[in-house]
Parts: sequence; structure tokens; C-alpha cells
Amino acid sequence: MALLGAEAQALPRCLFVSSYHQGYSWSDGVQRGLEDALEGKCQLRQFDMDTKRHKAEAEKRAAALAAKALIEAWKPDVVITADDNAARYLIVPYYKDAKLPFVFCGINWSVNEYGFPFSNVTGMIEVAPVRALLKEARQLSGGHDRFFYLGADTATERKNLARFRKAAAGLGIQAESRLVDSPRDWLDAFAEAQGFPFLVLGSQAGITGWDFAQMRAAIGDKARTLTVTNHQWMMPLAMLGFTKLPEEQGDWAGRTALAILDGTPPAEIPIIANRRWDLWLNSSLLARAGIRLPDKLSSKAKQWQDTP
Amino acid sequence: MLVRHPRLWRGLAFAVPALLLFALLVDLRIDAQRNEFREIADQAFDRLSQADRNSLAMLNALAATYQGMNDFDASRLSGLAASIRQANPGTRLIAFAAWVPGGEASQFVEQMVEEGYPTFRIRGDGPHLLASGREGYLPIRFLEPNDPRLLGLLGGDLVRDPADVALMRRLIGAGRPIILSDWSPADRFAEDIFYGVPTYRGFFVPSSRRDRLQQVDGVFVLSLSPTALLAGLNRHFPSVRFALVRGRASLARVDGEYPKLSWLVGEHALIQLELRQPVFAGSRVLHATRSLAAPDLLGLWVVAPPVGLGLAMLVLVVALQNRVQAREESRRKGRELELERHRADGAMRSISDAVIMLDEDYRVRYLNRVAEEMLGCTADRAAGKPADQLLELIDVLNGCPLQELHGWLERMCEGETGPEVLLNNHFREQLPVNIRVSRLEGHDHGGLVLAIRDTSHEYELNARLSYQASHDDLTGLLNRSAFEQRVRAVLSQQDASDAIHALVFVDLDRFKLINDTYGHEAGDQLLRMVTEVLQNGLRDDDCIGRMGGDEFAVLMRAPDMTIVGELADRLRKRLESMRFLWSGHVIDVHASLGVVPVDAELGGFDEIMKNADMACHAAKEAGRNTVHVFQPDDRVVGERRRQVQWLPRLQQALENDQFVLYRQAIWPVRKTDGEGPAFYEFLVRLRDSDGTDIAPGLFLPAAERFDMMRCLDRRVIALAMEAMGDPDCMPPGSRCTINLSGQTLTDEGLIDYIAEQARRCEVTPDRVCFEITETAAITNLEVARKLAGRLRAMRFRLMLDDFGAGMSSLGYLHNLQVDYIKIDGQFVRNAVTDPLSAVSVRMICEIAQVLGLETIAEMIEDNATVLSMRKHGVDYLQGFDLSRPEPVPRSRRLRLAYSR
Repeated sequence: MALLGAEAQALPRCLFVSSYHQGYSWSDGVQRGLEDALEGKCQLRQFDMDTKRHKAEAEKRAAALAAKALIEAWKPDVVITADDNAARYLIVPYYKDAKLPFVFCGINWSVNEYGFPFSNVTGMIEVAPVRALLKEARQLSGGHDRFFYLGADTATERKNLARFRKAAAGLGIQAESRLVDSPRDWLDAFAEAQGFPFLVLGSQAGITGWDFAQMRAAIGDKARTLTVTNHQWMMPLAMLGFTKLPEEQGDWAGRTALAILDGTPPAEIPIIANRRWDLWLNSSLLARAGIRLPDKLSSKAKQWQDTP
Repeated sequence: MLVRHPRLWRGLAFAVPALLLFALLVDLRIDAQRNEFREIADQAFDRLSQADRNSLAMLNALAATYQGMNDFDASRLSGLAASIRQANPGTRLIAFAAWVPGGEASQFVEQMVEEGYPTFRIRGDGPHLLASGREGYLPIRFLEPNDPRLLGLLGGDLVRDPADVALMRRLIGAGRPIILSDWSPADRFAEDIFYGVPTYRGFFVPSSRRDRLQQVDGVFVLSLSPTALLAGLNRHFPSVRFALVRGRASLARVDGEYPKLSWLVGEHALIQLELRQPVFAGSRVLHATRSLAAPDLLGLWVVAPPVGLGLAMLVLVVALQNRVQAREESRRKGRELELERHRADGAMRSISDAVIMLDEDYRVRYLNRVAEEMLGCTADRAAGKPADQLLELIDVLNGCPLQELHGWLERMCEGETGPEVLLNNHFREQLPVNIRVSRLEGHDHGGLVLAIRDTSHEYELNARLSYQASHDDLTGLLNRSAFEQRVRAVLSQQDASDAIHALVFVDLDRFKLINDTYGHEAGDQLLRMVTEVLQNGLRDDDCIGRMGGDEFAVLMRAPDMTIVGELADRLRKRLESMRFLWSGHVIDVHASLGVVPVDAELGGFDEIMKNADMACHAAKEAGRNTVHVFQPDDRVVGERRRQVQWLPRLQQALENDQFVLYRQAIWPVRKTDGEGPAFYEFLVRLRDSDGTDIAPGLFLPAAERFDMMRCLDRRVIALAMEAMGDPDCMPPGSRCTINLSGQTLTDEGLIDYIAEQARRCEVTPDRVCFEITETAAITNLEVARKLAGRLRAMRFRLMLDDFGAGMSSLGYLHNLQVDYIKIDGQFVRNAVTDPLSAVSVRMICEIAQVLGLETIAEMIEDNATVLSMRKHGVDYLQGFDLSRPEPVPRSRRLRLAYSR
């Protein structure tokens, strides 16, 4: 044990600062990918800012300061951050062009608002297969050129919505949207969306009192229109999913951190986007809605199974 | 040859076949290694060729897939590319470069930024004219793997320099995958092998090159990592080292030299196998090498057989050498044996003993030369004969032939001492022999060896020694010891007859005088002559021996002593009639004989000899030339016995100072009135316990006989000096004479003693004259001469006493240098009546006058004799008629002693 301890002490230190909390599906997926990439190669320590559940500005800043205090106390060799809040409240204010290298992941769509690239920062942007989703949804819904977007009223969702609008515009599709703060509003918006050719479900993260089981039960047989999503965790309520892989974010961030520890400057590693997504279908909801997917798609997509 | 240098041949026997086989096996081993190496190299080549083919095929498939789909996004491309990488080991990356017309570059970049690549830029010095009228870029927009270390390639234009333009035009124009020789997207990938395949708009590849150049959509690039390929090869073929180098025809394979073999190429490598083969369409050369160290070539099966063969050959040669050596050794031993046999035969021939070898059946096997001569039979003829036919041995003790020769030989062999034996030789002579018998130890068939030594010479020598031990060398008669044995034998035997045994002791009269006068040679000759005379006068059974000097003894057997006396007298007469002629002188010989009975009752041998001696002396005292027969009550012999009884009395007298001096005056022949004696002769007496003085005639013979005269003379000298030094004893200025016996002449300390006494008593030497009898002087002439010389040197005077009695030559007078001659009293006493004595006196006086000596006549007993002496010219007279001996007054010392 002492030997193992000594070996661990000799490994470089990697600090993982998650914007959210453990138990949040996306963050958990990122963490899995990261841990797989770094396992046995560095001392991994995690700090959760928990800004999904503590959304107040002061709480986010306090969480960033706590992370900063931990950085100064533990003195990691590299810091990996996940999702936007860590970039926004930790990297940008305290570590722009600092010596300490940062690898971010999970930043939605663009880093323009953070001013990246910094000399000490690189990372992977989280990009959803919006275009592919819209094209497939329009095709499945009969070629209509409008859709409804429903998500939480959060900055992330706002960015997502903007991306959808932009992509839809490129495809000649119009988008209606509703970003809500409560399950009830969400259910109301869901009911409203049944009148659109297809519904795009954004992330529910940030909606207070959300419970998938209750929401699943609430919609019951009310889902009639094609419901699609980019978030795997939204599949209990969606019929078709073009989902990102959080593990890809964590894996890449981990391998990039190792490359930096191996001597590659962060500036020589371009900021890239994720490029993997997966295809899911919820047969139960499809069946209830009486929607039949083409064989090419149904045979290709992964079957979503609700957990009992 | 094989035996002369055994180590060399053994070394060659081991080394040559071992080395040859070793070389053959090593060659086979190398050949096998080459074949194995060639197989491995071929397999490696196949693997690389397979990778080459796979790369082309997979890249082609990727391009075709991409070509055939209109919604081929990054996610799908990523999955497909990852599968290709996994399926084709060694693939480092798969990239897709999109064709971007020169005017659409900004739009393309914006799209990339929009898709999540905010830092994407087209890097290159383009646009380049890849086809007539079409300028553009080929920036990399997709990379698999999504490795942070590779992502720097994103945005890079495939056309990095003008040379790449032609390559890309060739690629795009080809419409199929090709190897992009000498191309890489970045310098750090320069060693990679790159394949490229173009994609075109539409679902199919345009058929014409022109269309392909016009319709190009992008280019897929795949690279193989040499490091990964070689790692795979080295992992699969760890015994061979692989390298991929750029090169072409110069490194092509050459038949007949392939694979190339080099010797001693490294520190540890014995040989190196090398193979070069062009791969990847000739853009690379696979360089395979295999270093073989000694252990690779010298395995057990390479080393063991040569060693085994070498050992086998070594064993063969050693066996051959041993056989040859054994044969040579056998020959050498045969020669040595032959030589030893010659030597042994020579030794046998050289030794003086006869050697006979018998087999176990006691048959003759061998005779040496001495045995041949001794037995008169050659070895060949003797061989096989029974020993008892060849050897005739006689027992010395009984004179009979030895019985049971075989048993006798066996007993002798066991160490038993057999009887002395004689051997009948071929001359029928009986040789005394000594036979030693020993067994042929270790011999295959046993047998005996007889060493026979002819002891005739020893026998004769022993007899001679025995004879010499028992006989007198000079006369050949029995010596005293042997004679004693005979007498003792007679004494120990009891003679049943009436005969008696007697011993006749013969002592030649005055033999010493003859011996000294004419020399020992004359004396010896006289003794031999006497012996002959005696032997001629003896009977056959008489036994004669020489007792020493001039003494003989005869053991006789006779009826009684009378007859013995007669026989003895007969012997005396024979001697008396004998005339010994020597150097012109006729010398009468006579002897005195004593006869004693040999009877055990009268004593043993010593007693008999003592009696015989006394009887002989009695005969001498009876006037010599007589026979005295011992009688138990013999007076003369009794007198001799009494002399013996004087011995303790003399010793006691010397010890108790019982001797006294008398003096007798010696007067000048023509004495004047008032003139005193010219000399006083000191005479000795023994004063008995009763005060009477005993005349010297009674004790002097005993003193002479028992050799006490030296002591007695010293005592007389001491007494005389004391007297001469004491005026109360002797008149001042008087002179004296002191008698010295013949025994005293040989007293080596005499001179010193005389000088000491004279000094002690303060007596001047010229007052003392020493008298020596003529007989004593002649008997010890040389001693007497020296004594006379030393006394005269001390100024003492010397007188020759009893001169004429010896009837000797007068020549010694001059040598003795005496001062006075005292004429023998017999001549003096008879001079008046015997003319011969008178002549003798006159002749002596005349001789003395010639020599300047003075003469003294003793035993003057009457006046007529005085007148006669005066007439003959004698100078001094001494006798009872003139002065009787008188006691010398006690000296001062004696007076003091007696007064105490």
C-alpha cells in the first residue's frame, strides 16, 4: 500500500472541475469518459461547482472561487473543466493565459463569448447534430417546415435554441419555442407542441421539481406528434434521439490533458467540436403515438428502454 | 609415430574430426538460420505487402463509401475510419482534405468555425492550380484518430510546396488510391507511408482524368507508421531486426547473395544475416537483419556431436596408441627380459658359486658354468636329470652318502642347518661344499635353487689358521696353548695302564747371550736347529711344544720317571753334541732340562709347569747342561719354593725400610801407607725382625725372579747417597760403588732419581760409581749404552762388573764408555791355579789398558792372588782377604727415625 501510495504521489495531478453535480447524466457521462482516459496516468481529483442546482450568480462565483482555492491549495498540473459555467466563472476571470493549462469540454456550440483561445486553454466544444436531426424529423413528419422547441429556461438552452433556429433557417424551417422554469409550464408547452409537425426537446436541466417518472406519467398518451431530442437523458419523453455522447467529451479532454502533461502546449492543440452522435428511438412512445418509422431508421436506431 | 607424440596425435584425433564436424554443423546451422531468416523475412515482407494492400483497399473502400453517400457526416466518417485503423494495424491516421476552391476559402473556414472548430484556418501557400482553370486548396478537415497530438494537422493544405501540386494532380487524375511517395502533411510524419485517394462529386468516379480533375471533392489520406509496422514485425519475429528505409533499386535483392551473410559484424555477433526487399511500391526497403551470436550457432546439437566424435576418435586413437604402446612395451620388456636374461646368465657365469636350478620334481633345469665345471656335466646334458643322480653328497661326520636328498634339500630350504657335506666332483674328489637352498618364489612351476660354494679354500685356510693358532711359527712345534691342551687332555684321561706321563722342560743355556751376540736371526736359526734335534730325538708318540723364547717342553709316556729321565738326558746329549755354525763361528749349544711327572694328583697344568720350571732352574743352578728330575721332596726345588716365599717378606722390607747397607773397601793394588780405600762398594742386607742381617744371596734371587730389583736398587741408591752425604757414615771425599741390576737398567726414571738423591744428599757425582754386570749390560746393551752415556754426562762413574763371565766380544766396551772393569771373581780366584783364568785376567787387563780403563779384581781371598793380580796389572783389589763387608753407620735420617 505504501508503494502504491508512493506511485500515486509520483503521478501528475489532474483536477476535474465540473460545472454541475454528480448524478446529472451529462456530467456523469463526461466524468466516465475522463476517468477512463486518465485512469492510472494521473491523480484525478474532482470538484463539482453544482451550478445546475445553485444557479444564483453569487453561488456560481462562489463555486468558482472555491475551485480556484482548491487549485491554489492542491496545485494541479492540469485542470479539466466541463460545461460552460466552469469556463465562464473560473477560467475566464482567473486563468486567462496563465501558466496552468486548462482543457475544457462541454461548452455548447461556441467559445466566442469566452474569448478563447487562450494560450493555456484548449478544449472540445459540444455540438449537437442539429442539422441531421432537423432533416430527419422534417422528413419523418411529412416535409413540414415548422417545429416546436421546448426546454428549460437556462443559458444553455437558449444557446441550443439559437443553434436550432439557425440550422432550421438553413433548412427553410421555422421554429416555435418555449423555455420554461417548471414542470407544469413544461407540460403546458408540451401540450401546445402537439399541434406542430414535430417537437424538439431541449434539456430539462434547470427546471425545478423535475421528475422524469412524473413527467412521463403526465404526458401519458398525450404525445401524438413526433418528439425528437439531442439529449439522451430526454429519451424517456422523446420518440427519436440524435444524441451527443458525453463520454466523447470526457475522453477527449482526458487524452488532451495527458498530451499537455506530455509536453504539448495547449495552444498547439486546436479547439475542436465533438463529432459523434447516436441514434435512439422510444418504441413505446412511437407506438402510443401511432408513428411508424422507416425500416432503415428503426432497424438502425438503438431501442430506448425505460427503467422500471 | 603414434606413440612418439601421443599428446599431439590425441589432440589431432580429437580436434580434426571435431573441427570438421563442427564446421559442417555450423555451416548447416548457418544454412538453417539463413533459411529460417529468409522465411521470416518473407513473412515480414508478406505482412508489409498485406498492410500495403489493405491500406489501398480500405482507403479505396472509404472513398467509395464517401462517394456513394450524400450525408456522410463526421460522425459516420469517424466510425468508419476508426474501424479501418483497427482493421489495418500500423495505420497512424486517416484524414480527409476537402477541395476548397480558391474563392470559397473564407466561407469554408466560417463553416468549420460554425461546426465547432473556432481556431480552424487553411494553412498553406495556395491556392494551387490543380487542374486547368481550377485553383483551390485541399485543407484537412477531418482526422481520425481525434488525437490531440494530430489535431494540429487540421486546416493544413495537402499541397505544401509546388512539388506537391503535381503529386496531387496525379492523384486526383488517377481516380484511385496511390502511394504518395515522398509526401507528408508535416515534417514529423515524413517517415510515414502515405496513401491518397480522391473523392469526387457525384456518386461515381468520373471516367476521364479531365473530369476527375474538374469534379474533385476531396482527398482521403491514410498513413502507415513504420514504427508501428516494425513494432508489429519485431513483436512477431523477435529474432530479426527490421527497418524501413527509403531507397530503391540500389537496395534491390540480388539473387545468389540473398540473404547476405557477414562475419564478425558486432561486438557480440558472430555472423549477421541481412535482407533487403523493396516494399510499398518501392518507396521503402525492408531491411531485415539477424545477428547470430555464438550461442545461436553453437547449440548443444552443434557442439555435442563434434565433441562426441572427437572423443570417440580420441578413444580410438588412445586405444590404438595403447595397443601400439603395449606392443612396443611388450617388445621393450622382451628386449629387457632378454637383456636381463643375458645379464643374469652373465651374473650366473660370473659368480663363483655353482648354481643349480631344480624343478618341482627335483629335476635339473639349469646349471651355471661353475656348476658345469664342478659336476663335470654341461647344462644341456644335465637338464632333466634327477638331482640325486647329479649330486653325490657325503656326510662329513660319518663319511656316508646323504640319504633322502630331496628331503634334505627341503629341510635346508626351510632354514634347517644340515651337516657339513662333501661333494663328489667329476674327478671323484670330495670337495667340502656349502650348500644354500632357496625356493623359486613366485615361479609358475616352483622349484629350488641350489647355490653350492666350494669351501676347499676356506677349509684349507681354516686348517692353516687352526694350525697357526696351535703351532709356533718359527719352529712349527705346538705353541704353549696347544701344548697345554694336550697336557690337560692327558690330565683329564685316566690311563688304565701302568705307564706314566711326564713333562720334560728344556731351557737352552745362555741362549740370550747368543741371540744378543749374533743377532736374532742367528737365534731363530738356532731355535729351528734345536727343534730339529729335539724332534729327531723323540719317539713317535712324544709330543713337543715351544713354550716361548728358548724354552721347549716334551710330553712323554713312559713306564716310570727313571726312563723319562733317561730319555731327557738323551735329549740333552743330543743338544750337547749339536754344533751351531753361524758366520764362521762354532757355537756350542747345551740346555738345562727339568723333568716333572704329569699327574693330576700333583696339580694341574699350571702347577706342573711351575714345577717343571723350578726343576729346570735347578738344573741350571746345578751348572747348566744337566737334567733335573723333579721329586716331591726335591731340595733344589724346595729352594725355589722358598724363593717364592720371599716375595711377601721383600715387599714388607721395602715398605718398612728394613734394608741396610754394608760396605767393602776396594784398595789400590799398590797401596801406600795411610792411604785409605779407593772405593767402598755398598752391599745390601735385609735386617730381619730379630736384628740379624740376611745376606743378599737369599733374597736377591727372589727379588730378581719377582722383578723387584728396580725398587730394591732405588732403595740402595737412596741409602748410599744418604751415607755418602753424611760424614758420620762415610769418610769425606771417599768414593763408592753402587750395584745396578739388569732390571734397573730399564728403569726410565733411574737417572732422574739418582740426580735427585745426589742433590738431596749433596753428593758430588764424581764420588759415586755405578756397577753394572757384564751380563746385564750385554743383555740390555743399547739401554746400558744410553745409561752409561747419561751417567757420564752427569759426571758419575761407571764400572762393568763380573767382566769375562759372559765370554762375549769385547767390542761393546768401547761403546759403553765405562771407567772401570771389575774382573769376574771366578777368573780371579782361579788365576793362581788355572792358567786359562790367569790368561783371561791378563788379557782383560791388557784390553783395559788399551782402552784407558782401570781394573778391579774381586774375590781376593789370599795373598797369592794379590800378587798374581798385581802381576797381571790389575789396578784395584777387593776381597775378604783385604776387607770384609761391614755395616755402614746409620745416616742422620735413619738415626733420627730410629730415635723416634
